[in-house]
Amino acid sequence: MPRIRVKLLAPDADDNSWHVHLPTFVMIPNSVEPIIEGKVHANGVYPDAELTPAEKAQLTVEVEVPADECDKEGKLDKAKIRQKYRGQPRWDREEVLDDV
Amino acid sequence: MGFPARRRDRPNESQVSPRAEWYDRNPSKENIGYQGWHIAPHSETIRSQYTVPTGKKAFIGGAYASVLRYTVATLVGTAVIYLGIGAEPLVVVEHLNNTVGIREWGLGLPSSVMLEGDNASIKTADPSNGGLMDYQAGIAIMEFDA
Repeated sequence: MPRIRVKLLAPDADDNSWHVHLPTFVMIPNSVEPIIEGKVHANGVYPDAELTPAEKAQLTVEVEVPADECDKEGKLDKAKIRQKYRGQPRWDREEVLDDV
Repeated sequence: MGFPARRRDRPNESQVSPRAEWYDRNPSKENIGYQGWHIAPHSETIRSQYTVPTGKKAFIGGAYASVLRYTVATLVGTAVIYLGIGAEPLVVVEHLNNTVGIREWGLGLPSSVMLEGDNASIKTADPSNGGLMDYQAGIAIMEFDA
C-alpha cells in the first residue's frame, strides 16, 4: 500500500473525530506533524486544545492507502477514486481531494 | 402413490442458479487494522477506515481490539478503542486502570454484510494525563461483487 502524507482534519459534520478525508486508509502511528507544545503531539490532538485556524490548517499525518486509488508514482488519483466510488456523494465529486 | 423425491434427486438452488455464491464473486480481503503506542492524552481520532466501493458488498467476519497500559498516567481517564460500521459499534473496549500490564480486550463476530458506501472504522481516544497505552485492533473484511 502506498504511503502518503495528508491533512489531519478537525471533527466536522461528516466525522465527529479527527480524521482524514479519504474513503479507505490506515494511519501510521507517531506521524502527526507539526508538534505544537501543549496542543498536538505525534499521535494526535490534546482533548482540550484550542487550535487556531492556522494551526489546524497545517496538521498532517501519514497514511497508507489502497494501491488502486493511486497512480503509478503512488500519488492519489482523483479519477480512480471517483470511478471506484462512483455515485457515492462524498467521494464521486470534483473536489474529492481538495481536503486531502 | 409414490415416495417423495429423495433429496439427492432434487437439484438444489446453487446447481440451477446462474449466480455464484458471494464468496465466489471476485472476492478480495480488505482487512483493516491498527497498532500503535500512544502517550495520552489525545482526542478521538479515526485511525483506520474502509469504505465499500460502488458495485461491491463486504462481509464482516470478525473484529478484535485491545488496549494495554505500558506506563502509568499522572491522572487516569478512560482510554477507548472503538470499532464500528457507520454509527453502529462492532467492538468497544474501555480501559480505566492505571496498573501497568493490564489489558482490556474485546472480540466481535458480527457476520454482517456492508453495502456499497458503508464504512468501517477504528477510532481511539484517551483523556488521561500522561501514560503510554498500546492499542491493537483489526476488522476482517471480505469484499465481493454485489
